Amino acid sequence: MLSALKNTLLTGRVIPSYILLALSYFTLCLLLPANQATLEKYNLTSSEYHLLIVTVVLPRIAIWGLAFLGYARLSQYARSIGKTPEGGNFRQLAAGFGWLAWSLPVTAITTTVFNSLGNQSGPNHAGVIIVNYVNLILPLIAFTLIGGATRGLINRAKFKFSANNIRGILICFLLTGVTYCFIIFRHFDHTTITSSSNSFFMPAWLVLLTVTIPFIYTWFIGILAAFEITLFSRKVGGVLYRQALGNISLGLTAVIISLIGYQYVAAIQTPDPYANINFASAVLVFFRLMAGLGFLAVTAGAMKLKKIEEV
Amino acid sequence: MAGNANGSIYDQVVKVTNVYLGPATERFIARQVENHLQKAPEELTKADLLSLMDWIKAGVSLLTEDSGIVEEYMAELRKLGEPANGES
Repeated sequence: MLSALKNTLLTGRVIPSYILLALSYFTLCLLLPANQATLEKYNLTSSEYHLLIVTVVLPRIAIWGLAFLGYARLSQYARSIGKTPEGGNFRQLAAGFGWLAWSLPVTAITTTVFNSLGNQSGPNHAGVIIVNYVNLILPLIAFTLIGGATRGLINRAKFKFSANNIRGILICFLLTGVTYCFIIFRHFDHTTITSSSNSFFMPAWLVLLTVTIPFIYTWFIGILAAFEITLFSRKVGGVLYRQALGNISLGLTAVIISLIGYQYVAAIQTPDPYANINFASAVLVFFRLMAGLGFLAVTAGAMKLKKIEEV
Repeated sequence: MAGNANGSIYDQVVKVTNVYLGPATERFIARQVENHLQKAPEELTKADLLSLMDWIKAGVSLLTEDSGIVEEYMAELRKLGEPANGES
């Protein structure tokens, strides 16, 4: 009874937060002035521009909803297993997932506000820098928590990676990190490392130390967590438990890969003064959809696990 | 406490169930015994097995639509109720 009340309160806190953030974002997108460069490029009126924005914003808000739902369900499951040996790991996993859910609206709202300020008063270097760090810090916290949880689960079960697993992790990490550095630093002024004439508006050395390396570190933690939860879900005992955990593992892996892919493509794009419709934006939409499906799978898995604790 | 050379009946039920419910096993069995048989898990006896199996089957049927898994699980539990070699 008490646990049911706690669960209701938890969902009760998460869902109103989501609704408030979604409404704030929707209102901002409708009220903030249209991007002049985009209006001119595509020959749009301000109303047409805002109508187009709504078609982008609504699916994005729906994906946030799935993320918050997944967070609420995972938290409920973690609470339902309380002080059991794996309870702490699932609580940490839910907390990391919560940071991921919150990171979606926070980064979108921050980006929208600073982009709008830039539209009104010319290039907004401070805004770009702040948005870059917000995009970095929230997933860094989320992946660190998720990674700690997945590491705890496999350590407790004494599962170990095979040599092929380790090779796979290294190849993923190297491919992501090296190609990212190659693409990022191609656009830099190589004659001096102190020039800020680049898409980050910061000297190359500062970008390397405070953006590039932390981003690659975050992705590595994320990739490792995806491998760890997959390993745990495949090797843990219990056919029915494995099936439920498999949904969480699949969903979490999809969310982590989509977030890394999204950050990757967003970071290597050269900023334009207007909203561009190109191959990169199509790839970003693909990653958003992938994240949405991932959040859905996590929700389904958490509900199945919780049902095991209820019957 | 009910016990034999292979451990108590509760331990044997947990061992069989672990194949299906993994880390959730002990909590699941303890809930079935406490809530439906109104006794502590360590007080479980062979005489309770049939009744416990009914509750377990009802619970597991809510977790999966795969009747093959449920039947296989029940068959494993049924074996625990059969007399061991040399037992009359």
